[in-house]
Amino acid sequence: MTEAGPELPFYRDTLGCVHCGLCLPACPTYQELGDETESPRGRILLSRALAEGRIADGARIASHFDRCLGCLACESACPSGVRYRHVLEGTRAELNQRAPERGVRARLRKLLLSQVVARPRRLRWAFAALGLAERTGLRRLAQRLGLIPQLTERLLPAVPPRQQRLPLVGAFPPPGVTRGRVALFTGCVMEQAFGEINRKTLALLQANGFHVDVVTDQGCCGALHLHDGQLELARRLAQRNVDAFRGADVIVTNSAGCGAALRDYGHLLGSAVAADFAGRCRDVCEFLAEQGLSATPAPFPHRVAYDDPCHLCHGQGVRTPPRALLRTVPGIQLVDHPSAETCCGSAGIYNLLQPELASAIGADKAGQLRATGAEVVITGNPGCIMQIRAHLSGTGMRVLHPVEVLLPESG
Amino acid sequence: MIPGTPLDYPVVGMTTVSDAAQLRDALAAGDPVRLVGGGSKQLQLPAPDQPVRLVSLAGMDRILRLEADDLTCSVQPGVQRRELDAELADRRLCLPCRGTGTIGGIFAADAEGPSGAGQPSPRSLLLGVSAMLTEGLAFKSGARVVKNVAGFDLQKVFVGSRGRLFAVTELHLKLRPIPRAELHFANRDLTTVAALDLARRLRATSTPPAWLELLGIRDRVTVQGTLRGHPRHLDEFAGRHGLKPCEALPVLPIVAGEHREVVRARSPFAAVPRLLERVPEGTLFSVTGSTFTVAVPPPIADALLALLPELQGSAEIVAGAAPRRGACSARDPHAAQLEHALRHALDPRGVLR
Amino acid sequence: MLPSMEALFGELTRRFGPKRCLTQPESLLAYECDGFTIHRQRPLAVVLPEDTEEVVAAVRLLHAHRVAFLPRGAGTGLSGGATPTEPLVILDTARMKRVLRVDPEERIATVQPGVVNLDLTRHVRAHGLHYAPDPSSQSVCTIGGNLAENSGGPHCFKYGMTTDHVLGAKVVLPDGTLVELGGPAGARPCGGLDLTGLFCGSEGTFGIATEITVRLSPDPESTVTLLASFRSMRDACGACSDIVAAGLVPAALEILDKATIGAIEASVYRAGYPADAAAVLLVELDGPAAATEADAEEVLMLCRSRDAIAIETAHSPEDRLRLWKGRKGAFGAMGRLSTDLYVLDGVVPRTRLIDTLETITAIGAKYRVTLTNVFHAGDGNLHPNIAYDGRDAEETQRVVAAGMEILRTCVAAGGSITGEHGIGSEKLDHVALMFTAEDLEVMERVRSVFNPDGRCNPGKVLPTRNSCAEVGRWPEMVARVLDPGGPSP
Repeated sequence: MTEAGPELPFYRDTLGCVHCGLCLPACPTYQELGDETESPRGRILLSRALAEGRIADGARIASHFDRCLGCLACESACPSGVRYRHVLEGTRAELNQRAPERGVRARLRKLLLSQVVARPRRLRWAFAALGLAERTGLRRLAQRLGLIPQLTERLLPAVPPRQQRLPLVGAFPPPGVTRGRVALFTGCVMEQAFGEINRKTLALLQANGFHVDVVTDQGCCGALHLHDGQLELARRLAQRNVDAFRGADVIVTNSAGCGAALRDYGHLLGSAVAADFAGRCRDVCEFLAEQGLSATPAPFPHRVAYDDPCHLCHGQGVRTPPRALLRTVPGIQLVDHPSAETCCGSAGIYNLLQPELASAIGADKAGQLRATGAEVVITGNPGCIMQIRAHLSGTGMRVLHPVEVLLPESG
Repeated sequence: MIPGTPLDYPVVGMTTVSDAAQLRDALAAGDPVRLVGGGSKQLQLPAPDQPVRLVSLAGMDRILRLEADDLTCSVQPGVQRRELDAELADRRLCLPCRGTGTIGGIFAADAEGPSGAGQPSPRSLLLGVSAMLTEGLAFKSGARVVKNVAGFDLQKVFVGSRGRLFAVTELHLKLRPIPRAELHFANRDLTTVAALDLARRLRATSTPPAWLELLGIRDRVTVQGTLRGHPRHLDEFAGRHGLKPCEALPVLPIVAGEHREVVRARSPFAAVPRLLERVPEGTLFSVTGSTFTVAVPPPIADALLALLPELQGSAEIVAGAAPRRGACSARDPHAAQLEHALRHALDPRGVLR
Repeated sequence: MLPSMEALFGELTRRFGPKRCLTQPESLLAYECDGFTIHRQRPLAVVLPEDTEEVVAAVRLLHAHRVAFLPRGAGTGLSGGATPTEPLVILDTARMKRVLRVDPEERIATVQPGVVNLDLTRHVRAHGLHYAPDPSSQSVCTIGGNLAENSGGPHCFKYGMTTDHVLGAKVVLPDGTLVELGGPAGARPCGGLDLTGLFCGSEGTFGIATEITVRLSPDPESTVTLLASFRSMRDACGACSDIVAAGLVPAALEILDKATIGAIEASVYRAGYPADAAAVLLVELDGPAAATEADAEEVLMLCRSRDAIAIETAHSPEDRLRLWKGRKGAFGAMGRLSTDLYVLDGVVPRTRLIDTLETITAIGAKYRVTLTNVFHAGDGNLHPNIAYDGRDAEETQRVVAAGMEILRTCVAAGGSITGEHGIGSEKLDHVALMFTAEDLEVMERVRSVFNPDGRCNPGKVLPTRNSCAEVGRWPEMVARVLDPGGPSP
């Protein structure tokens, strides 16, 4: 063993693994490939070996960490409480540092994450340009010329109309008596691609008697950067949000991926202020289930399968609240969905980076969902909505965010 | 001659041993030997292919250890079943498998298999053995405790080996408490279809009878058996399935006769109707657990032997004239080779016949 | 790398492709051990076949190149059964996870070896059936691994081990020959030998099962779980004996000791056991509702007469799960105490439990190790767990020495060195506690029938590989192990 080990921040996390293997069935990549190097237990061994200096050339193990979805199902399965997310993020950062990825695609990804996603104005421009391309038929042309890989194309959302992409800012009081005051986290891609869901979340909170603040200085949560091993950038983005929400009692999120990242700021930034921030974050379903709905949702007479976003069930431990809320919807029929907690293969931008695996995992998910006999799938994360929609296209099954069926009649 | 031993044996003599040293001596010469207990099961086994000396373990007849609280006991192979049962009954225990004669013989023959769906067969009750190879090497396998996975399970392959691999000198057995209640039932004179249907229904419950037999001739079948468990449950169960309680179960042995051989087959239960198709009108048959027994003329016996592999089962002629006794259905040739190699490895001189 | 090895890898890669034939040293790191982490060695390669035909092809190639191999399932074994002891290739059954056939009327299923134990139960649940053997790792471990190890679990007391539920298997022998053992109608064909029974528990040294036929069991009509806390271990063991003596046959009888209770209560698995509980007894009764209710009453009474501090009874699945929570979390709770966990596995006659536990505690103190006991009390199957830091060589040595002494105690009490984990590579030195040189020679002869060249999972179960040449070592080893005053291994 070299002395390098203990210095790497994730080394301690790897030591918690007693090699029992209980994480194997939870891991989508292991299930798909059967290769233990593509399992949490295998990856933790690699991380530990890296930290102990037993692996000289980091580039040789990078692909195993690239293939990890980061779904965190292994954390739910682990009896010893290993914080795999920290092992993964730490290892990716270390690998980035040792051997920055080469190649056009990797550079493009890094550039996109750091120069576009992390910067609200540029992200808005990007979506505007994408929208323009769509309207002018350029996108279809590019697709036909094969400039966009088909798998990727299927996943790219249709760009919503401009008014839905305008940033929400301001204070929004409820129509009647105020039950409390919350701040809404609007996200980056969420705001651009799913602005409507943000607006419905806002309306739902208002309809249930909450005064909602949408603060101006908030921005991307940094989850994608963190998962990509861009630790420094992720820390900068995190700090910005911590500062922006300093005055908020409760910070409500409607994207599971963002929520999990926000709630881990304590670890990421290592400060008491950040830990305090993390303690104030709530998923919208979790928050409303705690408070109770005061406005009865509009009737929704459909068979519905609830699919847990990984970063909600494994990342935040939120499983019951969305189901409890959905059960209050008049006419709704929640069907049995045994593999609800299995990753759909979206995993942030994984489906763009590992299209083949993501597609296989997505197809499995679609098969399981079809078998439930549901007409509508409900899941609370933008990436999952896109991925599941893509894999269910042509089946007539709809994919919605929980807030969309919790709104009262008038809303 | 030992009582019950068939007369068609080419026997050169007999030795009854009462300890390991005598057993070693009896095997030392290297002449062909057949191991027997009381000899009662020899009627069902193939005759030796050459003259043998009978070596009987009936003299090794001590119960070595009865650990009632641990639900285990150790016995020598010559202990009589009824003697052990009496000892066990005093302690409210039992050996939950069928079979008569010596304990060694019951396990060596493993004639009947499990007595009902999901019931233990002798193989799951033998925890370990002390044994001796024909060359005199004493060894053991398994253990005395109810749970153990150390080493290779030679005691498992002893079960049903008919003394063709080695001689056992000690058997360690797993016991059970005597069931709290027992209820016999017999529903008589059923059509074949009705009998099969009733048996199927009983087998499909979450508490199938501990013993279940279909006995009779076609369209005059008795479905009989024994329920074991809590008294409250037994009455309710019998009522629910329309079972007719009775005192004791009739024993109708299926025996060989002139031009009639007893065939015993093991098959999935679903294959029973197909087996019955081959049985002539008016022939007595019995189905217990997964075992089908019938006495039929040789051509039909041969047909059954040929049919069984198709039905994912196997069959053997267990009573009849000496040269045909022991004939069995074909099995995977590689498995047969392994069996041969195993016998050769444990008894290289081929003493045991 | 030897030139012949290169040729072999070339052929394997051609047949299986790079994704199913792993040869990169980094990829092999994950295969350097199973759930027993004290021994580690990387394999030469890992091959992931998908059906019987592919296993035959791989084994034939390996046989032709005279390269050793071992089968591996999910790698959850706790005795190093799937850890290489010499340079060899691992055949991993992870991609052989199809349930081939279910016959609900016959109550049997045929599965590929990589099917996960619990997945089989899930697969047949709709028929009101389940697969009875349930090792603690049942959500991960495979039927193939269970067959190789003859796995047990908490419900063995009533339902028996894997061997009681296996009817047959297609097996690829170490030379690539495919053989069918047993079948749907029974483990032993009429007139034949019970090779299925012999194969079960051979720890991967007889060949690889590629299709396994198992018995399915009907779900009980009702299940009642009781949890009783006692002021002393003696009372808990006494209650357990009283239950058995009363003629009850519970599905499970589990005990946790005070140290385990402490570890659980200090972890996320906190189950709310009484603070003054020195032992907790978990009793599960299943069967017809009328019977389980009456039996539960009786268990309650027996526990009370042993001065139980508190007794809880649960009927619904949720409540029962709550009572099992501490038991199921015991392993994880111990895993959190240090970086490594050594799960021991010894058996004693049930009546010797209490003396043995006292000796084990003394051994733990003598070797200064963190030791707790969780055990299948009905079977007398002990699982002393030792938490330690594997990076500390001196501590690891003490742990191994304590383990040896504990198992010596078990054997002296008339028990066994393993109830369900197997010998593997872990207990090669312990085998002599139980078996004589003669016992081992006979076992070696049996192994040679299946595995004459010793190239299938070498270095497992029996202390040496070539019996004839090295049998002389055994008496020496037996003497060494049996002499407590001698140097610890």
